Amino acid sequence: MSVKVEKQFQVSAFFTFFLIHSSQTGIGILNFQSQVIKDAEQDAWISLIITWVITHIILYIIFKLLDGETNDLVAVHQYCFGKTAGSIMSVLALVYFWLASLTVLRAYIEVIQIWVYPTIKTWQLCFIFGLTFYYIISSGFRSLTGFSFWGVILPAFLFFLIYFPLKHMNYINLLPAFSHSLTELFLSSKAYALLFLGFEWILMYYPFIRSSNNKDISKWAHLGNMYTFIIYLVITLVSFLYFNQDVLKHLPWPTLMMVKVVMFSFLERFEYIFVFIWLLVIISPICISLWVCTRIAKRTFSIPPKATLLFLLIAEMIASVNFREFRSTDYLIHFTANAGIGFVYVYLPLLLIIKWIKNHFMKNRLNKGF
Amino acid sequence: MMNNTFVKMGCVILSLILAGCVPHNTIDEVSLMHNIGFDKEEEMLKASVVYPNYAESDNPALITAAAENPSSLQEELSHKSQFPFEIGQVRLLIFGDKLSREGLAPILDTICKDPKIGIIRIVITDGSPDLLLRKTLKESPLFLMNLIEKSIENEGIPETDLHLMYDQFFGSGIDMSFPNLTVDSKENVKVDGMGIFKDDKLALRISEKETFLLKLMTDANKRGVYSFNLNMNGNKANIGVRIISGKHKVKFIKDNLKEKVKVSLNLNVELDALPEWINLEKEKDLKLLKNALQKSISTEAEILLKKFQANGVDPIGIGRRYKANHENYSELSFYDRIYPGMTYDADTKITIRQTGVGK
Amino acid sequence: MIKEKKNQNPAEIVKRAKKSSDFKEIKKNVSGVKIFISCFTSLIDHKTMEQVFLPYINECEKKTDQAFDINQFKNSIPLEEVMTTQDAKEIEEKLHKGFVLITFENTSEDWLLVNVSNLSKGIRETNETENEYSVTGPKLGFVESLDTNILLLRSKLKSPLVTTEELTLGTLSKTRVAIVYLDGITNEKHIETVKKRLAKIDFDIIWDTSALDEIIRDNSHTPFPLYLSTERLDRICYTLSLGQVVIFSDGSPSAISGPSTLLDFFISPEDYYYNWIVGSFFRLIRIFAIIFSIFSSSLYVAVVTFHYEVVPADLLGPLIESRANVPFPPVMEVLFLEMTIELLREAGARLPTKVGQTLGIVGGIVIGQAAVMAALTSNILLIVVALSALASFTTPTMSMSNTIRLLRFPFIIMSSLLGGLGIMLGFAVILCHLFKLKSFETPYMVPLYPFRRNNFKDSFIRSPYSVINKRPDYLRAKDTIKYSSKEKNKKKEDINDE
Repeated sequence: MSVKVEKQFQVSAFFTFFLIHSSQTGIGILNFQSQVIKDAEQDAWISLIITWVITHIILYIIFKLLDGETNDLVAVHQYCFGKTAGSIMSVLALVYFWLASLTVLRAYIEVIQIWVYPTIKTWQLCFIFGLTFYYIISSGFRSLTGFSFWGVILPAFLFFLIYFPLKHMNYINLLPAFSHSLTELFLSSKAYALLFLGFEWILMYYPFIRSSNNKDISKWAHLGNMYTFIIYLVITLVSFLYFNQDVLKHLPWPTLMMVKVVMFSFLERFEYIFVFIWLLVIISPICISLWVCTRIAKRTFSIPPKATLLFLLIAEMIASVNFREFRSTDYLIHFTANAGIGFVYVYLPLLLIIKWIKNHFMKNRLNKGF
Repeated sequence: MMNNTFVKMGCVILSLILAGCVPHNTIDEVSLMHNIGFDKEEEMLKASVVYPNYAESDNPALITAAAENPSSLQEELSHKSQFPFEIGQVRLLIFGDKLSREGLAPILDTICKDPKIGIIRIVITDGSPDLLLRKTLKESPLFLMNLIEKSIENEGIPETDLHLMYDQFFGSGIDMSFPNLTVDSKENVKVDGMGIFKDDKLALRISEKETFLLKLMTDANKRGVYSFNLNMNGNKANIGVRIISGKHKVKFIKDNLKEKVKVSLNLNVELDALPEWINLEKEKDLKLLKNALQKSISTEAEILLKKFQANGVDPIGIGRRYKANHENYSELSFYDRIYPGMTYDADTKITIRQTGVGK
Repeated sequence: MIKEKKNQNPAEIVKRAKKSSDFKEIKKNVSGVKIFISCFTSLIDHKTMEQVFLPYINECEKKTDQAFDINQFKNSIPLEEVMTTQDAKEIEEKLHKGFVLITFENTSEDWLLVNVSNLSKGIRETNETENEYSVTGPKLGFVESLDTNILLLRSKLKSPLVTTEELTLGTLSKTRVAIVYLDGITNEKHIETVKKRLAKIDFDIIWDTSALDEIIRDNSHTPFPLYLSTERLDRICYTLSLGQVVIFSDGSPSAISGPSTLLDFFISPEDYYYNWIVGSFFRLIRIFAIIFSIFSSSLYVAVVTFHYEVVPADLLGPLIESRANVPFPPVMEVLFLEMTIELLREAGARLPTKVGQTLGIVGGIVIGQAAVMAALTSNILLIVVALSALASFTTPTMSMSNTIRLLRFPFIIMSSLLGGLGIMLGFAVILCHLFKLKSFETPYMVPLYPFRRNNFKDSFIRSPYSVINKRPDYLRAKDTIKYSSKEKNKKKEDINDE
């Protein structure tokens, strides 16, 4: 049942770090503050730590699922549910992955329309993005990995921009610390969970990682998740230090508002540059998730990936053009977040339990046979 | 194979051009607003806009328009100009006296939330912004921006910009305060004192000296000149000292069921021109001068704090600090019950860093 | 396409050759045997012919006492390259290379070929690397003759490891192409790939070695050069020493070497002649110049057309003032100036050096100044475009320099359509394209992607010789160490040892 991928199409285990990290960072990092601050207020950073720890556990579960003969999600599904039911589950996963890609794309288009080109039409942006993404995804997984690598390295310098808001920081905004109940903290953790979604795509691209052993890959994957956490922690703390929490509730895109303060003698309004450079960051989640969709289609129904890709991209474009009202993007994000949390934090642990039961069952049957 | 590639490329290029018809904002085909003044006039919102005319002359031009709501103002303005007005290069917002008293919320909630706006400076004026802006038309369009920037940097005016406005307007436990621009008797524009707001309405104006004291208690940058009356060894004089840097601290002390606010200031000063009868070489004179300065700053700071309290405004952010120390804080009850009963104690410590060239 | 006839009769070859006016045949009688001496007179060295070969034949004619023996006849010809053959194809080839054909009537099936060729006629002897000039270092470049080139190479690298393999390519040109590598260092996989690719070639004329680039490359639709093409001897020696394979072809003053990576094209041999700090500095300047050259004019278009917000207040005045009277949209203005510069470059390349220089000055100063005065362009743009043109010329290899000049245009178009977003989209597509490229089955973007930490020592900066003593991993050389890195004469430090 396990998938063998030719060596020339594989990437080394080291890139798992970048694949995991770049799938997680998308559009959420630009506007998560107003969501997470609702319940835990200034203590939201504690919620972030909770989400992070849970994510590591889920990552561990994912590697347990991929252990042995079942080295991708389709194989796991077929092993647990049989051929037909497994295929149905895989298609459901495909729909969720496609939704994730759609959400990132639609949210980025919204950012562009709000911040840079208020008059541009959605279909224009969709069209141009569609062409670009088709080219990038059809280049194959190795190129995508290259993108996720350089999509992390090149925008890394943006991180140093925190110097500018930190000049205006006010530590009082973080006080009083530890003043919230566990319920409030967990509610904020749920808001943070959206930020970590994306690492589950490793369920499909796992066979494409070349490694001598499973441990090596899981080490890099956990490190990637850790790096994501560090970035989020820093952004959370900096935005809390820079903005009063009442202000954060009023600002739709706090991270971009924070970038506004960056000024050089030759360049002002850095948020424009920031939005454009962010394109490199969002390419990875959009493209990897779409690639994962094509992979699922290929593994379950043997449909050629280019055909699936074309179909999914066109569907994505049509869908994003149809989110016209400005609230509808919020609903989409909300819906995808809930679907993602359901899939990753509820379904995957259940799947592992089913796999264990099945393992046990099979072993018993084998024993009886002999 | 080759044909196929060419067809593909042709399609891509064609569709790019089709899809790429984004409306332009060519830099020389828009009117870039630099300073905007808002005021109320006969129940209408009136905007006076200074925009540069780089192409034709060095001096900026002024245009005014009136409308019922802020959103239609921009359109109203554009009706009067050959190019559309663009808000992205605004450097300064000025609010007129009448509007400040009636409330700034309609503007702060709309225009200041526009993502196109950068970190702009916000000031008020005690007259009409229209008049004030007219006085600057002979100067460069960036004159007012540079004036305010320099005053904040060196001359004892507290920091004011969009970010602080957000912080004070939307944030709890602090009230808005903006520097005040005025036209003096010789028709020159100058920075003069500040206006303190309660919610979005102007509640109190403070003098230049009080402004500096406010800066000492809020800003990290404490540069400015403080003048005080010195009465020493039978001689009297008014002396100005330049404060270079320093630190401030606000603490709460429970004092007989009442909250006591302790403000401690740690200032480094530079003395330049001193009357002849002070000899800093003498330990005694130095000590006397220091004590007199410390006492003067402390008393005046206390008086200012009490003035704020009496007017029910809190530009220093005492409420915010109180919140940081008390878990069950509510803005309403704090300002209703606790704030009016607070007592103040200011404590100043001076370090004389250097004396001027004279000595 | 010309079909090669198989199993030709040698007589037919002579018959076909006789159609050419420069083909001559002389009848002689040696030891009672009739012989025919024939050749293309345009290809032979007349001095050798008249002073060595013909006098010998005449002498033979006089000796009538001996019986004719072909072997003896062959061995006694006082010329270096003499051979007997029955292969018609070889005869035809050799005739066209300036050999003299001797046939014996009724005596022998063997045909005798004597080399009196003068193929180096009309070929220049020296090349001072005019196109890839360097201030320091040897200025020795390749010439149009393959043998001279190999000689130059062997005189620089006297190691016995230098191995050459020759083959003939081109249905019309029959060009000699040589593959050179270091035996025991260069990975066989690369050599095999090169041989396979070359063997598969079906092409009429090999114009230049750099034209081979497009014929043997992995991906034919790319503006990027995939193999380093150079006329510098030292550059080729360097790539050979790293474990790359070099291809020469006769009649071309350039050689190509591969597998190359993107960064190879920004390396100048001079970097290695200066000390490493200066060398690294120059290399960084060059890479900055390339980035600047690609993006500056498109950034101007994006900022002026869409993003006036990012201009600092003090820069607004000069920018608007210079743009104010220009009647065109920024993109037209930029394209106009860029085209002007391209015209100047192209015209300068076609004209003799001295005229070219004058043209550059006239074009650069007069046209630029006049265009600004006539309000066709803004003077800030003139500075930007001129600087970016200047920056593009810092690329040490001609082929990459051309690519960079070309790349600017899509970026300008994209930025005029979508502003900064267009530039980023273009950048993303080019990045993706670069990730896909391969040179002799080695990724083009190494060491950037796949990431090779060790190979950064000699990429953006040129590390000291003691650090870069290993061959880059991606070439998979069989012997990875170039030289031992131990510093031999370690100096005593002032502070510790005294």
